[in-house]
Amino acid sequence: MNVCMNNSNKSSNEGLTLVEVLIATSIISAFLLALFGVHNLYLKTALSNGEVIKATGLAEESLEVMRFLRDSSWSANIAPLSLDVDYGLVFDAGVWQVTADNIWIDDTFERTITLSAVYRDSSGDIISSGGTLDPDTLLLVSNVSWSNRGATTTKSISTYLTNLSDV
Amino acid sequence: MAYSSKHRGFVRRSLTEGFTILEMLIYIAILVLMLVVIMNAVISIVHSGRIINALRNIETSAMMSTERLARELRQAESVNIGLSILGSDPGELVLEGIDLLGNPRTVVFYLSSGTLMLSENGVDTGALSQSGARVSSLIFYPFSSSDALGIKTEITIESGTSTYYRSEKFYSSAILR
Repeated sequence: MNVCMNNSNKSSNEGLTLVEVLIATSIISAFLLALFGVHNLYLKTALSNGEVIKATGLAEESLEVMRFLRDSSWSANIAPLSLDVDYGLVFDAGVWQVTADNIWIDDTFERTITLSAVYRDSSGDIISSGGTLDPDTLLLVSNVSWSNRGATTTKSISTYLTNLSDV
Repeated sequence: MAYSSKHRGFVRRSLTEGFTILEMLIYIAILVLMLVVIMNAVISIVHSGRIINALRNIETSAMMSTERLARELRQAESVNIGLSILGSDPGELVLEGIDLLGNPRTVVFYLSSGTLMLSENGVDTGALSQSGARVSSLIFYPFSSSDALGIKTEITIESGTSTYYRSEKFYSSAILR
């Protein structure tokens, strides 16, 4: 009837001691705690997903609007803008306007666009430094920033704008 | 059958005596504590699951809708201003273009009881928003110059009920190429 267990001198009929129960409970607790940690991370990611989608839409919108302004008139809309300066875009009564003010969308997203000069090498490829200035092409960068749990996240996309009308 | 009681570190007992009341209380307390923790976790997981479900409905609908709108706008030839409802909610957008074979192609985006629908040449091709989501507001704003025309879309999508209700607003713009 009595079976001796290896490292505790108790009979198999006696059940568990308090210490054993405590150890088992703490192992289970540690396991559960780890699972909750993973679930929490998943939650954070899932909940911030909507903001990423909104911000991407806003960033794409500003590229599209700048293309519209380019198509409308390069000399009136694009040429007067200073290079390497942050601008905002406002939509009012059916008109898109470039403004020097900071523009907040839904009091959450700060959207800016920046134009910078483009240089080309002798074979006409765009290079980051050196080369000759191409006055009819500009690098357009659209930034959308928002605050996510105290940290600022920025979504940035870019394209080149070419002066098609006056070439 | 009788066993002599032996010292077990915490309680002294013999097998025939069973558990002491103190032991039982401690074990029950541990069990209850664990159950409370686990039940709380299960409740919060179900709760957040429902919120995430609502958000996923909204986000998928928004991505599908804005992406399709942008694509259709880019390949359209013109916007039928007369048939479209622009600048007010619920909006309707009628785009005229030609398909790959050179035949005229009319695409209509419209709201039908909270669902964003798409029809091609008068035939419904289906819903762009998910069945679990409702489009509560859809406004198309035109912007144009002599050389270019674009449409700014503001779409508000909601999903879920009471505590799990979520509503998000999305913006997109596209110009006709």
